Amino acid sequence: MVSRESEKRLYIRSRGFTLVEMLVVIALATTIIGGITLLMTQFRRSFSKGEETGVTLQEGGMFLALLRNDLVNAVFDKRLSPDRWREAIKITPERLAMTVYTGESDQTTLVEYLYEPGSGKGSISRSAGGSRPRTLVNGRIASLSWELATEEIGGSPTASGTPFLWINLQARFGGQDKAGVKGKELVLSTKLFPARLIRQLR
Amino acid sequence: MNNTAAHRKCRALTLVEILVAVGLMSAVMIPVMVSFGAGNRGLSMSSEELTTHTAAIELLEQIMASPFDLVPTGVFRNEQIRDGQLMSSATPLRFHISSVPDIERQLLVTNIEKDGRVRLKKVAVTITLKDRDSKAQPRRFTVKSLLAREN
Repeated sequence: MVSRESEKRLYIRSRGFTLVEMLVVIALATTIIGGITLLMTQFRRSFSKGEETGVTLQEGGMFLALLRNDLVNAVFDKRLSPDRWREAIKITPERLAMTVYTGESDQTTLVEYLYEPGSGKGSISRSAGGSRPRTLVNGRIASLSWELATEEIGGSPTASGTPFLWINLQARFGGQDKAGVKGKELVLSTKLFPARLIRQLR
Repeated sequence: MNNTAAHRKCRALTLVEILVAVGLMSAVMIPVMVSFGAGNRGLSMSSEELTTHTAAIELLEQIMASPFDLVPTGVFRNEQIRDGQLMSSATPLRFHISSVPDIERQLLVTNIEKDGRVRLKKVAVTITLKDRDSKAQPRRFTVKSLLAREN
């Protein structure tokens, strides 16, 4: 015969959860899991954004460094007559070409930069001496413009001055959406001076 | 006795235990988040430094490409360094400068003489990042080079 006390203990031990207990547990679990999920999602998005920004900075910086180095070593093409010095750097919205001193056996080579706009996800590639173009910036250019500017220092209406030329470069990098994540935009606005070419023209 | 042991083994976690676990996890995650924020700040600084460096090289390269005799000496402050403006009244050279927000430029050109003749010009370009976060010491960046007489 089971006593009344034992029966009560057995009942307490084996009874189910009440609705209130279940609701409290569900509310707590939802809050904790929701908070952790939100934290992790934000963390992952920030990480992707940082990664995208880093790649944009790296690609943009490398493109600018290479272009600057090529322009510093650009020389006047001997096949051109001296009065056509404004054509020493050939430039169109999609192409920038120049003759560059390579230092290898005192040779010069034709270096080309090719820009493919691609609706806000433009790319830039570089080729030297007719070799296969190498991509420098892949789908991360929102907009880019380059133009040649020239002036004659100390010139007058009757006499020509010292030739001087430079490239005006305007570029916005980081227009690419990668899995819904957009990196921080990098805006570059600068003028590049082909020092060797300018000295040669003097 | 056995009943109590079995009860202890099967019982669920208490609220206090869960709170302690969440607290411990937070203590681990907070430094991770803080270091991640520092990484992002580092990226921002790299971006600013690339812009600053580009602005400094732009001015330096222009001076290095200019005719030696025409490069004026002296200190040129940010107000004087404007696109299309004459460098000084003694030279036909003009500044060719791109517009970059939140920076200030300064140019210093000094003569280096040998045997009574100016042989070299020392060029120093300093870029100061304007005080955005109200920091006492603004960030400065200087590039220097020597311009040599060729004749």
